[in-house]
Amino acid sequence: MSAAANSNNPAEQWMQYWTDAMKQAGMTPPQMPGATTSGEPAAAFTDQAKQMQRTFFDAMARYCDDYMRSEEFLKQMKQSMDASLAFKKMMDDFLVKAQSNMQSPVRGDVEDLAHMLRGIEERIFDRLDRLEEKVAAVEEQQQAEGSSARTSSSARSTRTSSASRASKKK
Amino acid sequence: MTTMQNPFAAMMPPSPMAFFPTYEGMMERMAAMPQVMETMQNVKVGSSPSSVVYSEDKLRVLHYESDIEKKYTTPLVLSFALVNRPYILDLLPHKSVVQQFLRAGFDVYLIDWGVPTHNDRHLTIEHYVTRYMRNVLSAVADLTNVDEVSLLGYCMGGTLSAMYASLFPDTLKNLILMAAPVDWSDDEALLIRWTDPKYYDVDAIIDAYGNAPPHILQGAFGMLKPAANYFEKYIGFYERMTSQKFVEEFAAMETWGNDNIPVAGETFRQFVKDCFQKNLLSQGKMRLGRHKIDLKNITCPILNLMASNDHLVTCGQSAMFNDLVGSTDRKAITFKTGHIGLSVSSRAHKELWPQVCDWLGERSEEL
Repeated sequence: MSAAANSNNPAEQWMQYWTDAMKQAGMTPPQMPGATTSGEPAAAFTDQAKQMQRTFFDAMARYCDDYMRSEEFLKQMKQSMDASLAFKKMMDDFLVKAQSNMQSPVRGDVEDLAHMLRGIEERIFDRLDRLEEKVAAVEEQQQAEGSSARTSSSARSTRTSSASRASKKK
Repeated sequence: MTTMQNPFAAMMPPSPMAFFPTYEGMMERMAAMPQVMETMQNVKVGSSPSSVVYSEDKLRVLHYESDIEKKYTTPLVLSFALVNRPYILDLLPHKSVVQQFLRAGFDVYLIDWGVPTHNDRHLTIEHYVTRYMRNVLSAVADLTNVDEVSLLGYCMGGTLSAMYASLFPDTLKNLILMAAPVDWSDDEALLIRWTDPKYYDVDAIIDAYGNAPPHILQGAFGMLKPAANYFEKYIGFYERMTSQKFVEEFAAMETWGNDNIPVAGETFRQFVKDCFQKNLLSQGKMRLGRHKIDLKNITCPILNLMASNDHLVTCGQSAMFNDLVGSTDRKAITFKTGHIGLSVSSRAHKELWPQVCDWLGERSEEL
């Protein structure tokens, strides 16, 4: 007996029972008169069946693909979409009216509030973006001025040192 | 006396016994049912250990932990689409893009955009790209003390990554796109045909629902390949359900496939109108608020991954990207798999991802 069969867990016991029963049933097929035990013809049959199945599905895939590209399909798709959207709108309108009649806040009220907050958030982000750009521009300008000042001062010092070297040589 | 041959003999089983292996198989499958149900219920997806290192509104950034020694200082940020959940990139331990990068020595971060509620319906692509992505990449750069990070975008996440890269090119070290659409002129793609403004009124949908509802999105994705998604998949499952590994992978994929989330209404409206219907991005005419998207601004190394059997984003929708950018270091790989196969197929994990890791390693700062 397996560990699962000894287990007190009914789920495990059931699983073990099921597995064993099905395995045994699969291993001992009922004998029929005149039946052979060779698997070869069956394998050939299975291959043929698979080939037929493959051919069928390939044809089906091609047919579906052609159909789904057709004008008729696109028109039907639009019609069903329009109908489902119209139904949804009708239901939404009905629910809004019902809630309004019960004096309770509707989704639209909450959405308006969210919309307002979002507007504020967007404006803050926009301002921050612009400020960031300005700071970056100022930093760039400062860097450019700093490097040009360094260049001119180093150029001056180079000129001075070369002049002093020249005067020393003299 | 002539004997008449049965013209269907070749198709007939030679004896009734031929059915018994099928009978045995059926019994085996029945026996496996409890195990299958248990696996389906308990499958663990996105289980690589991680911690949240940044959050903003509903967005979270996961940092993956690993015992494997890091080899590169340049962090990698993964950005998935706003449709469905991002754990497809870390579906199972042996089918995990995240694990591939961790094993190669990268520091990996994943953006989980979160689930938009009705109050998030105002979020536009501009919010996602110029606010969220910018803040995430800046936070990751600060955390890892670098100036540039590598970014990998999958599907719509790739399109958003391309937009980000064009606006903030100085912040990126490398850009990898996975089945990311940038061009919508190819009307061979069914989704492009279905979103034709003549038949598809995105305004009416968003005005009615607020956000793009997941059941409509899931229905549309399923209908792209109805024979495969509604019939063959389940026949395949029946045939292979005695394999524990197969069932686990099937359960993981089903969990992810049915874990649909809404897309923020204004983002969906803008994506459908500007991309699917007007194809503005590849023409350099797309605007995010006051920012204009010019893909020529992208100068970092580019790796563009495409799936040759992709029914959602055809190769034609992604291939053009490499010609539109200003980068000189650009590469495209077309791999024989489907849209999701890029991240979960065994072949992709064996053949594609090691290549991608090598490509990225050569272009990342080493420790």
